[in-house]
Amino acid sequence: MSIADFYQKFVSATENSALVESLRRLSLLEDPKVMFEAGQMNEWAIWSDSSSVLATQA
Amino acid sequence: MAEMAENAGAGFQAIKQRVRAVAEVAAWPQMLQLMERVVHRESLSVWDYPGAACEAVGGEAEAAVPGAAAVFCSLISIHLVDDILDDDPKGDYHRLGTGRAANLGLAFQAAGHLMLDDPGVEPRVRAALHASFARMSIGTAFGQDMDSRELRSEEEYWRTVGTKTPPLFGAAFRMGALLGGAQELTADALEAFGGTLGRFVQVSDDLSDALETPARADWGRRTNNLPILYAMTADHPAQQQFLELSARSNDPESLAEAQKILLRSGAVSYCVFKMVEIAEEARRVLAGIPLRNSTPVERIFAAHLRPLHKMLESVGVEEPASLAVG
Repeated sequence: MSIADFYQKFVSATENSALVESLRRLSLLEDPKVMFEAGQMNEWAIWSDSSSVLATQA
Repeated sequence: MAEMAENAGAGFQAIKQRVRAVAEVAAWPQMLQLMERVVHRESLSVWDYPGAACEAVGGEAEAAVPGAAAVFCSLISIHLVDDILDDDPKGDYHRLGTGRAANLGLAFQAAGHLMLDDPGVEPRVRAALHASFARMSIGTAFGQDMDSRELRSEEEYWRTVGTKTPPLFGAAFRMGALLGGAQELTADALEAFGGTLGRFVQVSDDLSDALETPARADWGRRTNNLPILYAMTADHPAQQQFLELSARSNDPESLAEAQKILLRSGAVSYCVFKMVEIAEEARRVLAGIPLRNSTPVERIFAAHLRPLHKMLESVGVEEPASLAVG
């Protein structure tokens, strides 16, 4: 689904699928750091001294 | 579980030992140092995929070590060059010099081929492994080159994503399957699964890079990162503000404000949506592959899905795996 199509769905008052409802709740989070607390995101990192690896191992 | 982790650790050591056995590597301190800095992450590290694919088709995980070692070498090579292409402030080329970092990248790519040149592997399979590795190498280099310039559209973004990570992930599964004695069709199907997983990881990686502080290199080529591209192009109320803030991402306050817009504009939500969509596709592909034992591959898939599911659980979704796009 394209960005434009998704945005229409995202803001549409008639769209109420479980997934889109959850995604709307996600957009209400205040702090982006919550995303990192939710779990390891950077799956591509390989180095031990990469800040993303250290941050998520801490 | 502890025994499994121990075996995985031993497998990682076996991979490094194999690479260190190459005379030039053993005599090259920078190659040895780079290898030692690599961290193994159970089921997430791409060098785990050949073993999983090998077992899934009925082979022994040990038979996949040449493929795993080749993938390990390739990843180091790709990261060295990717950092140069991205002007990554953390890149090793700052310490080593650009030319030497590029040369080390070439050395690791060549070492990958040497790993596959194992006399214990049947010549017909060995030839197929070299072909797969070479296709992966040129495919990844092509994708990295596309990603090194500012992309002009969403279509171009997805085209680039399709060429960047999927060749490596696909080849990792394919080589493992071949080493496990799989038929060509099964190896093809596992390669397709790996390619889909590669797209998933690319979106996940974009999200992670966009939300990190200080600003990652992605903010320097904004349209090459999916959440940033979304916030720049979707018709949301803060679009203009985002365009201005994102151009000043080196300023911590501007970056923090831009990252908040990524959340409230739906950019992060869009990435999560795409991850759910791609995960559905991967699940379909995997379900269609006739495997003797799909558990090792499913374990890798589950490890990749975990952060996505945790994120959805954090907003009250009780069964994230049951959420569907359709």
